[in-house]
Amino acid sequence: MTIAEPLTPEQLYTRTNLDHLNFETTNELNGANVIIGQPRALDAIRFGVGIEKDGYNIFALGPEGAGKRSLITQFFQEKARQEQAPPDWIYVQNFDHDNQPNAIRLPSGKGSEFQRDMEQLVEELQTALSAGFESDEYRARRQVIEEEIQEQQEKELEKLQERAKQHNLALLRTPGGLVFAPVKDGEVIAPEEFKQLPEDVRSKMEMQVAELQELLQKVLQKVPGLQRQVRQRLRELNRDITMVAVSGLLEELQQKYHDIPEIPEFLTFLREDIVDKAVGFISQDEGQLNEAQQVLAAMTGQRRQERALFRRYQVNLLVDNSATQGVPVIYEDNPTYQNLIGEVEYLAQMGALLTDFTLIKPGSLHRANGGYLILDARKILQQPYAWEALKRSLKAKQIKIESLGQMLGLLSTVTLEPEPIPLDVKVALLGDRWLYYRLSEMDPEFRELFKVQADFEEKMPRDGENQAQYAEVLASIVRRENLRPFDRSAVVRVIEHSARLAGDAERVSIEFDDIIDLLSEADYWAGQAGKEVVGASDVEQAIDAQIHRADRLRERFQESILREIVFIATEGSHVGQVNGVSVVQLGEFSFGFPSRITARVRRGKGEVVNIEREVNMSGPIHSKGVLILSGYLGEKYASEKPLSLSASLVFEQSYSGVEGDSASSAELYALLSAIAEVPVKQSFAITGSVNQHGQVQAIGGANEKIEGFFDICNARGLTGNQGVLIPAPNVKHLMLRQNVIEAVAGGKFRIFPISDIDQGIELLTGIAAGSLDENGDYPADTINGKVQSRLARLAEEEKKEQDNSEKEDKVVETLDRKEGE
Amino acid sequence: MSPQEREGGIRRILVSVDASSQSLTALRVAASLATRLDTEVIGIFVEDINLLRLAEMPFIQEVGYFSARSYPMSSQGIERQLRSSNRWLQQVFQMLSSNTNIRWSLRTIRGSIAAELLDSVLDTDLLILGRTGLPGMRQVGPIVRSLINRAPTQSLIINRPVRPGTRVIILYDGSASSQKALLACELVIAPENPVIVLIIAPDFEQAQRLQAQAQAELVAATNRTRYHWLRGADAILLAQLARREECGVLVLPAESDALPVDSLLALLDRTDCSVLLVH
Repeated sequence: MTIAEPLTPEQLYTRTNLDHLNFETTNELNGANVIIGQPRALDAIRFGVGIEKDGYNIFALGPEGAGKRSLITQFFQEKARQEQAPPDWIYVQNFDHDNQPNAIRLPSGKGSEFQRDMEQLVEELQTALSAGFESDEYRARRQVIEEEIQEQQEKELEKLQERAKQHNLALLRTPGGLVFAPVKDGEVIAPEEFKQLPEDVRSKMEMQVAELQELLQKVLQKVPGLQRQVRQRLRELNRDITMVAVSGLLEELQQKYHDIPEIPEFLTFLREDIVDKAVGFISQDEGQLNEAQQVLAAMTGQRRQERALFRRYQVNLLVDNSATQGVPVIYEDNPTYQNLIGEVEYLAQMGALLTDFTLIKPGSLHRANGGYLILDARKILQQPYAWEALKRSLKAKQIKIESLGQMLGLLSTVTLEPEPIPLDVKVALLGDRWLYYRLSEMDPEFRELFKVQADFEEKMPRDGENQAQYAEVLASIVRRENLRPFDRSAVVRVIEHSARLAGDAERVSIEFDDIIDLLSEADYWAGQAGKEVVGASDVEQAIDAQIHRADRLRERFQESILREIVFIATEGSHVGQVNGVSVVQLGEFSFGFPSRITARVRRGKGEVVNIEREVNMSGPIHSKGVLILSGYLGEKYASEKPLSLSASLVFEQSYSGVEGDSASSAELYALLSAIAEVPVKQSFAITGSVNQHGQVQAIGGANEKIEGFFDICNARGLTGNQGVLIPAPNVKHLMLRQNVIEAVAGGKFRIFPISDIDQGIELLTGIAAGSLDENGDYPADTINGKVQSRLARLAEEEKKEQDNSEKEDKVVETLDRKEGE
Repeated sequence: MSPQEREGGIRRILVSVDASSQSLTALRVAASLATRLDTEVIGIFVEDINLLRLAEMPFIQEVGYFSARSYPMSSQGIERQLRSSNRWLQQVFQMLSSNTNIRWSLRTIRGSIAAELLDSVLDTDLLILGRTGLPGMRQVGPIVRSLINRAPTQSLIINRPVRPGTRVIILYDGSASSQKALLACELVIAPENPVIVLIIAPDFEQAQRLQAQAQAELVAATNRTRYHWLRGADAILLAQLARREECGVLVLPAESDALPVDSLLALLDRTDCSVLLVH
């Protein structure tokens, strides 16, 4: 075992060396938008973009700010530029089934052209039809039909009138119909006068009336038939006129779009529909309508119907790629069910919800069809039914718009079932690792549909070449974000801060969101100071300001220690009491602060009681760490004898849970101190986990923990005896604050790298740890010897008590037997 | 001097009413005219004696125009029907009295419709009645026929509503009756309507002369008046012309050599316009 030596200032902060990169400010750097530190993700994306098989969609997993979206977008856009623009899609009326609009695919740019052509057609139709129906030809032919039928009817009635006249009878109108009656001088003969007529005349007249009535009935029975005939012939006339007016216009379009088979077919159906509904086009002059017709027109909204009729011939240009260069790359910011697969909107008319194919709205799948779609996995999972809809669409390779209200039975109005549109899209989901592994585990379809995982790193090695590349990336961000140029010292400081963010002196963070924020804020402070170029002091100011904005809680923690509300000793010595250090993570900001850990021992069954665990305030990793201590004690001091010890460990003044094993070495020191009854120096704080063999292992947040204890010591006044014991493997993570480094350089504060427990306990107690002799014993004046001796004493006492108890049991047993005899 | 002043004005309008839709249209036209001319409107409901007579002859059955089925007629049924119509008309007139500033009254008389109308029209200036003929036939009914021959005053036979903008055709042959027709046109038909004057003259010179006369009478309507020259007033030709011009009202002289009674009746049978017949 070597004696621990304090770290030198150089070991506490690894400076950035950009000597081989010659620049004064970022303006002189190339600033190319290079991607750094993501070789694995790049390979995966390259593969994902290149492979054109089903299910090879991409899931980009990694932390927020790792540049997943920009990298994926960049790759997609590069690929997209090389490809032909995808087709346009339109929805048109299905003339056979109104509620099932037809989707038609047209070459890119043809959709909007066809839409314009159809708008023009409708306009021209109105003119052509109006001209047709207002023409003298139409009027004359209509009159002929009406006249002909009218004449037929009149002829029949005239015949009856003539016949009646011959017998002094007349055909008269009554409120409900017609009658034949005997007349004299144009008036109905008085009944008294009729009765005075001779019997035979009367009888004959009655017979003739009866006969004429019968004939009249026959004539009138023909009326509905004649009217039907008129309507039929007028319909035919209307069809003829419409056909003539429409055919010329449609033929032109059919010729123009003959190479898209669906269009001529659609136009053929359209012609039939126009011909069928020709009457609807004839705008009737309201002045010519009779009262009933006017009321009816107002009630049924004839004008609305007319408009609705023309809507049937419109084109809903769902996807217009006329202005698209290459294939589309779409990022859907709000992937709701409707935003993803589109929806059918409704219009409220007289209290009813109405819809038609012109109200079909595209979703991002439509817009990205033929290209690429980028979605945030968490967002889509948060939106009801959106995830299922995406999977369904990808699996079926088609986009089917279904009304959510209809699907859930919330909407009872008639809706549309638009013809599904074939889907050919590459989707990239962006999410964190937890989400990826959770989906892989829970959703069997997920792996089938997202076969490419692009795993993004959070950090990259901080070697010379990488630092130079990092500087280039910083320059590109500065340029992209329109910031003031950063000088060399500022770039260096940003890279060093990035290492601090990574929590590793040999790594830099490639979560660029935080770096972009830092650059922008440094630019702001430089601007406030009236500088043209951002310097290291501006970066420093930005970092300090960030910390200041977030460290209210840290101040409160420190304040409560300095006011001795929370007990933390930074000098003197105590048995069974050490300073542990914890880290608190508050959003993006984390800080360390010391906690008092105490241990008490007594004779017992060889258990270490974790008081936090007893009250459910200990996390599983912390509990594991404490249980390891029993293993260590047993193996080191009581391998041949029972461990007759009962110890309790506690984080004093802890009012929330404890998690992590980074305090396990501190707990062990407290325990050893309590067993050996040797005081521990309170000028030290300890961090590090320990294994059963007493090796001290690396922990997270080493920088924050050191700074946390330093701040308390610094506030109380540095004595030169204070310091922190950290695991030796953590030395490579150190990127400490400047004031800590200065204190170390001035010999006012020390940081010790510790490899095993013996090394640490020597520092803490000032007593040698001691090694085993040939008898398997530790020297009595060493810490280990004292521990061993105390444990042996406890074991002896325990054995004695057990023996006595056994003897007592035997006596009781003998007495019981005697009594029985 | 306005046409009303020259003619002594229209002070009382007689409207023949029953429960039919045509008579309601006639009533509406009368209301509009009365409002414009500030005249009194007298409604006359004649309980047709012929209907009562028919009901007393049990062998006569009414044949429904729509159903083509025959129904027996009874005196009680006809009486009930007349009472109901009368009650309904009373309500209509009361409503008109309370809702307008027009002076309204309704007379109910039992008798022959034509005779009673001719009697009542004597102390009024204009008779307005719906055109009722036999259903399914274009020819005008016996009431209108008898009025053509015997009505002492101008009669407006309504076949469709007369609205602002309705095109009006006037037949002008220079006769006294046709001169009155020119005046009546401006007076009775809404003054903003477009007018076509059909000049009936055997030769061009006379046509020009007659046109000049008509223009003098219709000074106020110069901008909306067109003139056509016809050598003769053939009923079929006039009916076709009216249809082609989408005419709403025909203004015809009742006593004109150019349009004798037979031709007049033939024209009435053939046209579906409303007709203002000027005696």
